[in-house]
Amino acid sequence: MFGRRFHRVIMASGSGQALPSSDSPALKFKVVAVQGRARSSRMTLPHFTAHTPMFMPVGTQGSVKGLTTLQLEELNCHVILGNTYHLENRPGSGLVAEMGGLHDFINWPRGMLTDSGGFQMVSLLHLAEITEEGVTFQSPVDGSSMLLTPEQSIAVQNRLGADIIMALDDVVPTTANDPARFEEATHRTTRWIDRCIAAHSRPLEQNLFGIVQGGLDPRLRELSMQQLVARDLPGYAIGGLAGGESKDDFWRVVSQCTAGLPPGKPRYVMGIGYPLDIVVCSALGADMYDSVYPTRTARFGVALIPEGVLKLKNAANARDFRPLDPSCSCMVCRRYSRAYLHNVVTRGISTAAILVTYHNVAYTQRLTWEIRTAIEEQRFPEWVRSYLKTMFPKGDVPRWVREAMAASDISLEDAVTGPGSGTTSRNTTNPATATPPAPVPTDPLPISAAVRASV
Amino acid sequence: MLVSLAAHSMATTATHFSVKARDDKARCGILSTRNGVVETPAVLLYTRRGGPLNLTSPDMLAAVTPPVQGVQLSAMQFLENPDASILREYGRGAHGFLCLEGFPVLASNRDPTMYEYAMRPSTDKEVHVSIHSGGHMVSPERYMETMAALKPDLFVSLCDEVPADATSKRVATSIMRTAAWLDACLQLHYTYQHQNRQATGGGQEVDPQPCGGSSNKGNGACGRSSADGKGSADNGSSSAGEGPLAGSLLLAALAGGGLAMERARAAAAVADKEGVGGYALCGLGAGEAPEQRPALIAASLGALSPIALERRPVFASGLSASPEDILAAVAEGVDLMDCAFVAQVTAGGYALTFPLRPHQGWRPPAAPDEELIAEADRAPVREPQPQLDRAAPPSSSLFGLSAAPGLGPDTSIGADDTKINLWSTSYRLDKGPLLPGCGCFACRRHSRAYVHHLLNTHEMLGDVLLEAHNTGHINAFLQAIREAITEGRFEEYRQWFRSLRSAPLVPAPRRVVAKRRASAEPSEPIESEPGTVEVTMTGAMEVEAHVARGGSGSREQRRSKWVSV
Repeated sequence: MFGRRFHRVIMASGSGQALPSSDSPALKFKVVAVQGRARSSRMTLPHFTAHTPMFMPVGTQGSVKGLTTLQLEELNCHVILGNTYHLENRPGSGLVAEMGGLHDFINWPRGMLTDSGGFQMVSLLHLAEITEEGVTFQSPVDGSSMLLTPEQSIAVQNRLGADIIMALDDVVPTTANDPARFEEATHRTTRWIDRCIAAHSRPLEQNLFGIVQGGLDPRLRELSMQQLVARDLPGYAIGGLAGGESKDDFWRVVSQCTAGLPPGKPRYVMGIGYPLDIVVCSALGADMYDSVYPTRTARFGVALIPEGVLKLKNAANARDFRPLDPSCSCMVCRRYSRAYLHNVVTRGISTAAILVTYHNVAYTQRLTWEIRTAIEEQRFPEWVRSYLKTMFPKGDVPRWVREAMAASDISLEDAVTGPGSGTTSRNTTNPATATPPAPVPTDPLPISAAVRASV
Repeated sequence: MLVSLAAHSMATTATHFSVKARDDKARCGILSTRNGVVETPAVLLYTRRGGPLNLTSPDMLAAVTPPVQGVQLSAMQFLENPDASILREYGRGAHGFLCLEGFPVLASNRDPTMYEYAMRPSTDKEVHVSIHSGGHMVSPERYMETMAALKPDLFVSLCDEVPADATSKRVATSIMRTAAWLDACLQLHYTYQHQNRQATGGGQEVDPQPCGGSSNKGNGACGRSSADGKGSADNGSSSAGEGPLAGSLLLAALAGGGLAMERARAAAAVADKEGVGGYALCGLGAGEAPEQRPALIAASLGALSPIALERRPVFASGLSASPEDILAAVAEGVDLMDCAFVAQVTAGGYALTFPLRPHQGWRPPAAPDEELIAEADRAPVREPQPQLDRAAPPSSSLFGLSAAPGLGPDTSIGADDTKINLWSTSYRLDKGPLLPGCGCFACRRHSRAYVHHLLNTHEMLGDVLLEAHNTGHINAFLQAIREAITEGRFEEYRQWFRSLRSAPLVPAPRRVVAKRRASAEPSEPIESEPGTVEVTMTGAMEVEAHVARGGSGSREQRRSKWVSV
């Protein structure tokens, strides 16, 4: 045990073999510290050098729900997301290009990533028809038809101008019980990546990431990875998760992919936003995450705190004058009380929603900062144990987390008690402060409730 | 006893007001409070349940330029969720609870964007209000208990608000009740000023029974005094004036509904009663027409002696329907106003763009008809005004002039933009700021196209940017008003502002004219070069021009034709 730790320290300090890195035309990725499978890295993009592991807030329609770009900078966000499908609907990628690209249009100087529109295949499935050519969508806004082919998706993303663009992949919801469909989707994703590469007109300014598919089938995942890696892309995403799959399946797929993808390139697990998921995936060696969860749950009056979540509308908060998170130093936690926010969240006063959103983004950014720092200071396992102790004070860490940590070579001895009993149940000490994570948020769109707000 | 009451309230109040400049009835003043200074006339930031609608405090609030000077909140929204006991337990008043440190806070009796009164009948003892949690009956005791928990810098006494069309009988009743409630509030104010400080830092439940009634004065009788020793007055200051409302200014509600005579009567009865630190014009924005308001305000304030008004600020609630409303109120001597206008235009997707200062060399026009004739007979083309925008001071100093197209309202060609509607698709590709020359957060950082997109996609950020801009614009407007009063040209400023709405017609440049029609109908309007500034001819202007030309039937067209730009 001691010898292995010693060996790891040497590796990280550089006197052993060199740390992984890669040099793509528009992206430089450099791992600066490793501990176990976790790594802390720097990713130099055309607009900004991001630090990973990092969480990327989602600004679907060109704004992160009420926050100004100045606030996003103050919150230390490095990369934010825009959504190809929605931005093409309104205002249109042509207009954005005329405005100088998405960065200039919304006045965000740092990193930007655009999704391909593929996710909407799942979230708007009832409006989509998938063929070899592409996906035909019926616009939810005006019912008009929009054909999204790999070429179209890349063309739109080229016009939007983000630092990282995503290939159009054939996404199947993990809950689908259709092995043939998964097989088809895996191979089609590879055919589409070639079409995306061919269509990409700005390879020196925008990085095209491929997305590993394959559902929950290790064989298909392996196949997908091999085929993508053969294309030598600047970075790789692990897609098709954050659906309704069980956590046991989820972490195993992530683990297989981080083990199989080249270490010198960034790994992006799409749709991850639950703090616990971020910690587990980082332990398994992933680098980038995105989700609407922190910002969306804020608008439902739910604040992210070290113990889990805080449901502000709960009556116990009416006289609780503590800040949302006493350990948080964000503007909201330094000045506002739970008692104040309790009365005004979800009541149609935008400011209240923005305040909780602000904290939730601050919380998630601080979480990833702590992860990076712990890896760089070679105390990541201790940090993980302490994090889990706070979240599970009675030691009932879910089984899937224990297994994932074992696979990450992180011992949890003092953080857990006894063999795992529950899988996803969380215990609480005080209903006001440590309620279980919010159930899958209700959402008018049938599938997006399950996807992207990972259970 | 009453004399000592006065002496105490004047000595202990930390909020005080003094007039610095006058121009007829309009006045500039300084209102200093423990939480900051307000230069009046001023418009107070609107809040709902204690917070601005879209601007987070402190960062976005601090970013408004010119700065927000003070904040208005409705005490009625703190009757429940939260209520006074929760605020007391918290212990740091509205400033702490709502994160409004550094801003003077005025707690009024109503929310200017909604009307809480007259849903159900009130009684002689209590007024009925409808708030977020339903209906409540509010007595002076309950009202003042809420005020004491909020600890504002100024507050309005309890008023029996009536709509503008209330009968004279109802109005008379409201005056009687409001007067009785004022006396009760004055007594309670005194009590809360001199009450020993609450035990802070603990969740100690306090007796919710407020000190009421005329027999309980000063210390000891309330059940909240220094029985436990914690609230004792050995904090280095005198025992008097350490209560929760020490330093708060009471603004006496001036009632009277929509009846001028009644308003005068009610105001005369209040006069300069001891303990009254200022006046609050109530009953406005209650259904009366905007043009009636100046007379109603004048009726109330006219019944007060100049000495009474000298050291007392005047707050008007519910009247901010438009900039003209603000000007009319200031002209009558109002110092502070709440502001529904910004909230309403922001919610509508508008950015305020009205010019704030006359261009150099502007003079009040002579009689309009002569002006028209004289201009038409002179050289047809008015010289272009010098371009001032390059030399213009930064940020809010916005001259009502721009020679180049698309750079703000161009008053020399008769544009009178008040606001632009960012929903309009004409802004889809507009890279310019909401208002060129404006130095606010939104105009410095974002474009009209982006704001239009945000509105279109129902993103909250659209409202955030518009509120930042509109709040700044209104603040800049009041700044220009204060300058005009200080320089003794307020009436001229009002004339100029009015003139924007009915600017004299600008003669068209000479051009080859199509053969005139033989009929008696007025000629068709000539299309000019497509302008980048849109001006629509209103019906009134058409008639005015028509009349100026000597009516229909005249073939002698010595004057300029209308121009549709």
